[in-house]
Amino acid sequence: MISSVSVKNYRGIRCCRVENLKSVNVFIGRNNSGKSSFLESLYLASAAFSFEEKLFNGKINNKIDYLLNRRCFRNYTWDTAKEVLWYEYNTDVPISVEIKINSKNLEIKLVSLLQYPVLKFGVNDRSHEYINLRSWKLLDIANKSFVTIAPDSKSQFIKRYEKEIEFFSKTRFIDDTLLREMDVVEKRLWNSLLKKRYDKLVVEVLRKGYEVEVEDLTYTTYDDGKTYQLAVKLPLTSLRVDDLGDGARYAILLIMVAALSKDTILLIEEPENHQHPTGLLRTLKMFLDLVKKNNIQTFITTHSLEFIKLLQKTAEDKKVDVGVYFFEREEDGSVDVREITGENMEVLEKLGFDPRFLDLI
Amino acid sequence: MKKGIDAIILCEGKRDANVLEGILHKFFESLDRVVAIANCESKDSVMDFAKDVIALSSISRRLKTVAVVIDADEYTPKERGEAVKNSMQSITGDPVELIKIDNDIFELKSQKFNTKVFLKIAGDFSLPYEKHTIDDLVLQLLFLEGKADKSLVNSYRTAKEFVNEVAEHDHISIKELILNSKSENVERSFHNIIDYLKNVIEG
Repeated sequence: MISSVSVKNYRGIRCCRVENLKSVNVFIGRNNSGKSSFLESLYLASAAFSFEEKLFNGKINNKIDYLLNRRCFRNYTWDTAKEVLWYEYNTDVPISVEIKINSKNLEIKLVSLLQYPVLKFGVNDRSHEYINLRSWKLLDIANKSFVTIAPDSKSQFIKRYEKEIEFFSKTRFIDDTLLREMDVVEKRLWNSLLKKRYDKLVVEVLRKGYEVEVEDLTYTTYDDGKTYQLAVKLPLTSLRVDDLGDGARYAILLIMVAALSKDTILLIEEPENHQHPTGLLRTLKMFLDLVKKNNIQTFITTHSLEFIKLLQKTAEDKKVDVGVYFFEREEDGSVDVREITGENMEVLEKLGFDPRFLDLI
Repeated sequence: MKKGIDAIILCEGKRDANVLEGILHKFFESLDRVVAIANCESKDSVMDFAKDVIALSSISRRLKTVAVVIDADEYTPKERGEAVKNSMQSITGDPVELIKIDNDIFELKSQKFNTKVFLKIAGDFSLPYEKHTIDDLVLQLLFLEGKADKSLVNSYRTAKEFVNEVAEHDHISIKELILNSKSENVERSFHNIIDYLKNVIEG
């Protein structure tokens, strides 16, 4: 499990450190405080281990392009717009993400001369070499030179970082961009979901949380039979998943991804969007069961106090450890992060103080 | 520039908050400081105050002062101060220092606090009641304003009872009562609290 993360020079974050991370981590704070950038920086770090983004069926092929485009799709590419990833567009300094996971410290950098994030190689602090896991070449950032890694060093590296490579390779980012691509996602995941009969979970969450009288899930055709799409079987008709409300679709997405994730991290942006509390609660219950069962560490941004309360209550019942962190941007671009413990949250609530305004005190 | 809250005053309930709001409106409105009043209604007031102060003081970045106004009840100010200090120590597991500033005003110091922490024990021990509360001071104001008859002081078990009867008779809230009273009378009856608030607000 990741216990701390430090980010430097990524988008709106000049520097930021979050410590004492839990199984489920919730980030709150004003708009533009660095919450989403923090999630993105973890996604960027995961690109060092697995660069491709496979959910988007050719529209977007890799994680860096996803980060360049997910906020506003403008066909940005590394060559045309890489600077948007850098703090104040300053590509002269590397973007750095340092992660403490289990007992290991990982240092991932993105430098402007290479689209692939690289991981610090070697065990001592004197090392300036970073490894590109796609090409297995070493990058000397200071000298901007590449060297192919020796085969025995490669096997040593894989042996040493086997778990971490596996852990970060499966990272998923669940956001509105993914929701808009639901048809593509569902086609990518459906077979795996069906094999393990997790389709039952989707049916259950729709029935109990969204009052949709789903009997089962099926595939239906449209576009004169040319296109197949997932549909819910109702008592009198079948309805394409795309035609369900946004709340139900987001729940399906969340449950599908969580059911198929294992020993990895999920990055989730504003899951409260489009949700009625009943649906949100039902989805959260199932989601936390999956988080616990599949050992998924979760990072969530939210603006909803209602979501936090539902999450904390549900997590307490299910014995899942939740941390809440308040993000605040300082004038110099550093992001200050305060953990709000459960006890402090209770005190703030009792005193009538909304924790989303913690920057006032 | 961000403008945050400079000081938070914690008190025992809505009634105490009304008294403090009345005094702040009457004497401190023109100050360029942001002061919030929060009431932590609870059963175990000392322990809950201690928890609230520790939470606020440890989580804050901008707050300069957390100030507590707590009723003396049947205790002396020193006993009350010690009780708050002991509760804080039991929560933090760290030593907390209780420094006497005035007869019923203390400062609490600990490495765990990011802010100054002050404690005011409210009550007027010259009144013949078993429990002393902030209502003692409201009653003194009523005497000065000629709204309550001092000779009836022994007819009530607490100052609160006496004050309630006058307020109900005049259909007036305690805050309104303070705002409508002569400033010199409010100053005389609440001088200790006004001095305390000055310290709190000026940091």
